Amino acid sequence: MKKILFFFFLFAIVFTQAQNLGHLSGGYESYAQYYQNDSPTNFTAPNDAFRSMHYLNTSYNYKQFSFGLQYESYLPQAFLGYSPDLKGNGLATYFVKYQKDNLSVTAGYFYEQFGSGLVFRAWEDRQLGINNAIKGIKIKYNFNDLAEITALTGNQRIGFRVSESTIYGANADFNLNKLIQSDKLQLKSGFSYVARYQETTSQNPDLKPVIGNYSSRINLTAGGFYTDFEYVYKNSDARASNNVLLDQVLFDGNAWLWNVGYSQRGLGINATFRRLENIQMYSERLLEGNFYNTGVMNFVPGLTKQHDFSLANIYVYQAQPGISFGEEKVGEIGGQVDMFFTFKRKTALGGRYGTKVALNFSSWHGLNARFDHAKQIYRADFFKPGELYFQDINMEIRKKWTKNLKTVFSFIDVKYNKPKLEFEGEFVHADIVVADFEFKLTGKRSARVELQHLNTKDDMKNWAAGLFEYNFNHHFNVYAGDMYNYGNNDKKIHYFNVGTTYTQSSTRLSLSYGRQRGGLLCVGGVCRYVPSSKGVTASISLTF
Amino acid sequence: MKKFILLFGLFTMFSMSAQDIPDAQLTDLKGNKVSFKEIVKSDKPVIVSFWATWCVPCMNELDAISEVYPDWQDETGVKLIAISQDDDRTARRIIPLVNGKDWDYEIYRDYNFELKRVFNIASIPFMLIIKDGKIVAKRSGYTPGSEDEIYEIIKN
Repeated sequence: MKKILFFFFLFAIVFTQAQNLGHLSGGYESYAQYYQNDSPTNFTAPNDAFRSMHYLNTSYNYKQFSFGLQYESYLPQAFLGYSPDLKGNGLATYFVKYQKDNLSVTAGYFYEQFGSGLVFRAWEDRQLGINNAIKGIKIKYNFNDLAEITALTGNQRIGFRVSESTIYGANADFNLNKLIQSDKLQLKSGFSYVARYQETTSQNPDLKPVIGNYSSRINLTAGGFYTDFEYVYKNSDARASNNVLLDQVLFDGNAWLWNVGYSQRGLGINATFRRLENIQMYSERLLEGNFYNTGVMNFVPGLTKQHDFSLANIYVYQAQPGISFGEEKVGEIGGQVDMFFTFKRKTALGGRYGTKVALNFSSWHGLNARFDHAKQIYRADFFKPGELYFQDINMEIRKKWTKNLKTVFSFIDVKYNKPKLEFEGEFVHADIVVADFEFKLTGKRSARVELQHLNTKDDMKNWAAGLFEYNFNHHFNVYAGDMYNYGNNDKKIHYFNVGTTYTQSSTRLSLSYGRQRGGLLCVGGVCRYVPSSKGVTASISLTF
Repeated sequence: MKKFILLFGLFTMFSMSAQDIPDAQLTDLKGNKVSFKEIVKSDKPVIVSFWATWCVPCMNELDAISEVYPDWQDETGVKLIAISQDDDRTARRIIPLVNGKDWDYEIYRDYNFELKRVFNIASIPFMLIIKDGKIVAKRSGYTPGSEDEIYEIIKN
């Protein structure tokens, strides 16, 4: 509370005395949900059937200084599927930052990412309930655009507490262009070191309190061609499962990421290869494998296309960076290819307004490895892929037909190794077709119709889904949708949803009622398990 | 809680007064670091669009504007700066997608959401409209045809 008063006081002083007022902004987000019992899905409303989550943040920039704070309330606790650490309310994060010329210093809670995030990332994603900011000090210095050096240390935020461990690290990004002096060629490289210091009571003398993570990267751009490469190594560490430390045998880890692309006007193509072996890092050893992404220190997203349509989000891939002797898994290997092109307007395929096409292919396998269960050791091949975990081949076509009609057609063929990824069920092969129509009506009115079908003989069998959205004007809309697994003779369930939203400049209000399908909710390649439920949800978000 | 309500009221009053443009570091598509404050400097109107390759309404909005963009530029000299909120899962799609779509915008990446936090943006699409170095409008969301309203703001 003292801190709040301090900020308040500070703001007030600046407010009254400053001639140049600087910039102040803030945001408020609030979600409320009321759970209802639901017999078709066997869902029983929790004791706290009404739950709400609130986030208020403000930031103020004045000359070289900026200040910020975030207040969070989970009343009486967070929604189902969020970490139980999130309950009650309090000042969650705050910071003071000083920036002058090439130097910046931040004290308090800060976010940061090194390289692609494989070695280190602290970020916030409210939908996933992730806020793994570091509480400590960060210093950044830019050497005339030749190099940028970052050094940081602190403890990681876990709910309303901070981690037992101390995290420290440094990063250097070099811009080698200045040395090559070429306009056509761009060359950059980067190096990071991030360590976690956590005391241990382990009997294993090889288990050190400091576990280091190292990343080296290079990035080259030449005309329309570009490529980048990153290698990450992690020191030998104990593992943990269900809050139990597994420290008899220690394992190091590594990751390889290679990306190459080419693009010119009207065409773009990109391919990524990645191999992961035991590369997940948590700020406390025992947090490994928790359901809520609590204490994650690095960013290991599933590299697949993030689909927009509900039926395409039943079988989603989550990256598999960890070791499991029980499941005989030690990582993943695979890749993804994307291609985008436009058929120009006034051509045969382009029609009057042009046609935009996106193709995507991704395929992910386990590492091919041999396990010695008695000794708890394994050997993995470098290139040879093991069992298929996931594959997705898809095409999306966007086309405007007339001034008032736009469509999106999407075709998706997905293979999902449910036994390996969810430890239950059967291997699924599904084909999904989506058609989306957007109509501009008279005045400011418009409507959208979405039709989807998923065809499979496996798992929950065939699904059909539809959505109708009507915009009365640019502020107010209503929608109704349903997902129905009509092909399943055991249990057919309508996952319906009706709702409305109201938007006025940067303020949004929404209200909905429906049945939520249980499953993975993935944002930015990171997933959270959302339990099946039924109820009313309301939200408000605004900025000022 | 009372203090917060008070604080909230104060901020609202404050934020209605003329404000400077805050700064944050962005990266261009070649990975060079640029200052947000520098790139929005212009004596003509500037539209700043927060978008991502995975955000359908964002794409719809930017596709819709791209059809009328040459006319807007002729009439008002406006420039549109599209700031990607893609993280490293999807960031590699930005260049091929922008080229594949044949967009004419200035594109930057908001590495680890620094600028998004400066403006406390909860969800995208989100748009800022800047005239004479001041933020004159903020918009959240997109519905078909709402680009006409943006044109009304920049035209006047």
